[in-house]
Amino acid sequence: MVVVMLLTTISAHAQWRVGATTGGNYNFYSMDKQYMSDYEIQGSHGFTAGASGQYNFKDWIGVRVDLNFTQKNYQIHRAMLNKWEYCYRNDYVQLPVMAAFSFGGNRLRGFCNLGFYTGFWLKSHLSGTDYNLFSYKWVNINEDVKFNADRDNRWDAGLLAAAGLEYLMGKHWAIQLEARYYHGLTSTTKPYMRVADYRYNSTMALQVGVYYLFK
Amino acid sequence: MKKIISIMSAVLLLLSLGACRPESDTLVSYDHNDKLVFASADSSFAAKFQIMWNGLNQNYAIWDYEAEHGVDWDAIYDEYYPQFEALDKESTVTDEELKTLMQKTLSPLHDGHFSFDMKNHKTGNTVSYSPALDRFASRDDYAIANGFKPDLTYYADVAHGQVETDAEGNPIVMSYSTYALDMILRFLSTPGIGLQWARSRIQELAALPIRTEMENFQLQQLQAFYQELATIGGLLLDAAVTLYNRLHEKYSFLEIPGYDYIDPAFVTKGITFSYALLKGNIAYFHVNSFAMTNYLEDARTQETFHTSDPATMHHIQQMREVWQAWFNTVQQLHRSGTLGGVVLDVRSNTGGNVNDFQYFVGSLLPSGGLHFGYQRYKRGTARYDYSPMMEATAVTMSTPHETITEPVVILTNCKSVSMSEMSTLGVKTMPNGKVIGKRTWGGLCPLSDNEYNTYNYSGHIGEKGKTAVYGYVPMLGAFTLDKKLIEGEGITPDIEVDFDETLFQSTGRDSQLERALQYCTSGK
Repeated sequence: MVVVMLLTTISAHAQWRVGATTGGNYNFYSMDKQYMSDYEIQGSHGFTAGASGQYNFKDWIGVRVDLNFTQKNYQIHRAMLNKWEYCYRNDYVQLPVMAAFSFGGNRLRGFCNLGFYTGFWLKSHLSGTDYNLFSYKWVNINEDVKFNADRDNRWDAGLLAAAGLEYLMGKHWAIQLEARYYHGLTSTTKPYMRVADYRYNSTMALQVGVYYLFK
Repeated sequence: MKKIISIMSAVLLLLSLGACRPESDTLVSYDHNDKLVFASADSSFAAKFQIMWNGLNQNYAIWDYEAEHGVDWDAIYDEYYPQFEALDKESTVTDEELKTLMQKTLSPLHDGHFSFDMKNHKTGNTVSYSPALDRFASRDDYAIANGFKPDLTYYADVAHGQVETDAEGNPIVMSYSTYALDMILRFLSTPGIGLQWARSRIQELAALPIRTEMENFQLQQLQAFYQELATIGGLLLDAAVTLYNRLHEKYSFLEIPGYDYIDPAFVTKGITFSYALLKGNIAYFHVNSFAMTNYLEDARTQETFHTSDPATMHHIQQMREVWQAWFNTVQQLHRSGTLGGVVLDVRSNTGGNVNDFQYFVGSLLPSGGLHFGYQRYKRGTARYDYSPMMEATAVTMSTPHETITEPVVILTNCKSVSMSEMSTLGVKTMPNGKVIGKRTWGGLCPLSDNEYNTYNYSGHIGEKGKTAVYGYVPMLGAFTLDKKLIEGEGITPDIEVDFDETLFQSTGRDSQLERALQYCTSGK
């Protein structure tokens, strides 16, 4: 539907812009704890940064493509063993593709972006504390997680929605403040066993961007 | 207006697509006798299979290792679930049929401790299967290792020149057993005490032409005792000990020599210590099962045994004397620079308490613990949810003692399991350590009682003797120092030596022990 809209609105208002974004995010990790009743799966902050390109067909609609580095971090704690914690730091490279809608005045405008993203899980790092029951010892952990080719789904995809404000500074420059939500549709685990076990990332980002407008 | 419609259309499209997150299957925990969870297994073979398959899928700690060995657990479900289902349609299912199916399903698994019980609701019997026993039976030294007990008779004979002697010329050899069966056999067969004394006394009294009233009474009571005791041979060990102790109390007035109470704890916690100082000041020590801490630590002794009974305390003291003699000799000879080596014998020792390490290999090492390998736990319900590798540490002796730098040899065979293998890995870490004998069992992944289940949300499946399905499942994966799993394979000796059965039968000589002695004296 977005493609149809784009094809019918090409006009003299077409305009390119390129930019860079950076910001922070908060990721929620959804998995079924099953009977592990004292497990607490908690979200965690991360970092995002990238480049962005946008082509406006009209002053209110365009298509935007980003290439960014985004962390999708989370933590697991245990209510019955309060020293126990796993803190995962997961690095992704992402390619969000969105329809960009904007509205408002000449200087200050609002915008919302709707679309999808694909990405690749670059690296996972685990830090925290675990308990070796056999040796009666608490153990500090700080290591990269080795991917398991059978288990780990390193390809990521999902939907995204964003909204924000843009301020035009002069003829060629603009800054944006954007709140974005990535809704993962691909599980981080492959269906490697007959028992269905799905795990998803849902990431909220708050980022600033600087753009150069080609006019 | 067009703009608003476009935006709203896009939002609705995204919302509808966003609902596409399928849900995970619901799983249950099998760690205890949960009536709802195990109910259907009481009357369905298909349900028994489901519990077994899912329980292992959730709790078993070495699935990646199994996958490397070609085990496809999902394919096993596809192949054997229909066969278990088919049993539900049969009017009779023999124990053998059930065992055959269990064997086909579970034989690919490598864990060395793992075993499974299923109650055959058609016959009322419990059918058990352990893949490790099949693997054990295929080993080339299986026949020798099964029932093997080290025998130092040849070496203890001073005439053979293999043993050091004390100031009086007696061989320095000590041995003691608290195995309940050995105590009962001693009672039954030793001349002059126990049953043999009673038999002789009966004959003596019966031969008297005229008996006093007391003699008649003693004869009648001895005969009654003899008759009641006659059934002991057909009983399992724990029932035999119960009968023995009951008669001990009932007939205490007969004052039968050597008729001491046998603590029932000796049924499962009875072990043997053997120590010899062999030629060249080589200190040999054998333990047949790892329950040493129960004898060597006062607190554990109090918890385990009836320490108010003098006979029990006598046994414990005898055991302590054997171990102390070995330990003190090693320490003294090392201090004087005259220790030739240490030989630890874990052949056919199927393991036990890991805390025993400090009194065994750990008594030769510095205090502070020994890092001998790595361990990894299940950390979730999915097949490959594991913790990172964590250092596996064994407790070494904490009281001041010498660290032994002379050659240390550990003797192993295919029935050296679990704690015996942990001890073997400990010797392998020592620069002066050597493993001699045959490849061990391959049962390094340890177990604990299921009261620890919620530490790891993993462990046994069901409860033995209570649930229709019971799985004896280790709680973690155990790795060597170079982070390798050798479950089901075992530890390869540094020097492989067969036990020469013909030599032993004809002369009493132990080829594996002699190779260990050769290594200690020559370094080769």
